[in-house]
Amino acid sequence: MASSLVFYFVGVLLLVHSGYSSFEFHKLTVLSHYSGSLPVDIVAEAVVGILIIVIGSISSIKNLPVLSLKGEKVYHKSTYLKFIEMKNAVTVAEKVGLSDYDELKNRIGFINIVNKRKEYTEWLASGQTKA
Amino acid sequence: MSDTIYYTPSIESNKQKLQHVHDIASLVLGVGSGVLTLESAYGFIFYVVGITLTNLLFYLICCEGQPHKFFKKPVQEVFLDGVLTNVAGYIMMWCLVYALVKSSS
Repeated sequence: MASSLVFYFVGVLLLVHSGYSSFEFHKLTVLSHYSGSLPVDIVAEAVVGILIIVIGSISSIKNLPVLSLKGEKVYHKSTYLKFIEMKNAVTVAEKVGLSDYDELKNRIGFINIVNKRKEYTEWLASGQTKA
Repeated sequence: MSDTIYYTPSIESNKQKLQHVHDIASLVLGVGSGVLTLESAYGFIFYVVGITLTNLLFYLICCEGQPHKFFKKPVQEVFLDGVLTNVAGYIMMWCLVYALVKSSS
């Protein structure tokens, strides 16, 4: 992500500079009654700026590594996109032990923590009385 | 290959990533054509050429030589879908930057 920010920054800087140059050029053409096309260096600067921002946008869509339950980083086999065939797509989820639907299945937001805590302390207490 | 099972979240994610690239490319191309003060058909030719080059870059870099593993119909989804829907953003930036650059004259 950091590299794409550098691309965006440099590209925007080039575009703004070429835009200001173009603005000045048009102002001067009106004042001096000069009739010519835009200088090549302004055109080149704008095109290079566009190219750099597009490359930055492509580099910003890289797959991020997934954190497994053991705390290890699991990387996708493809750098930018995700495989769409089932046999290839689920390999990362299998390594991590989670799937994209876990948020729907587990509903962490609906867990009654007070109740869970109570159950746990009761279970602890029952274990101690037995032992 | 009709019995291939696809994983929908991956398809959606790939489409979103392509859409993200298209969004940025169309806005930036609009800024560029405003800076170059293109007019009428030249602006649209600039857009078509620019977005096709962007798609070509995406196809070559992101698909890693095996586009069928990331898109059901790679050529159609990468090169044709989303070209017309992003014209609006392109024209918006084109008009804005054109007006700013030409405001003095």
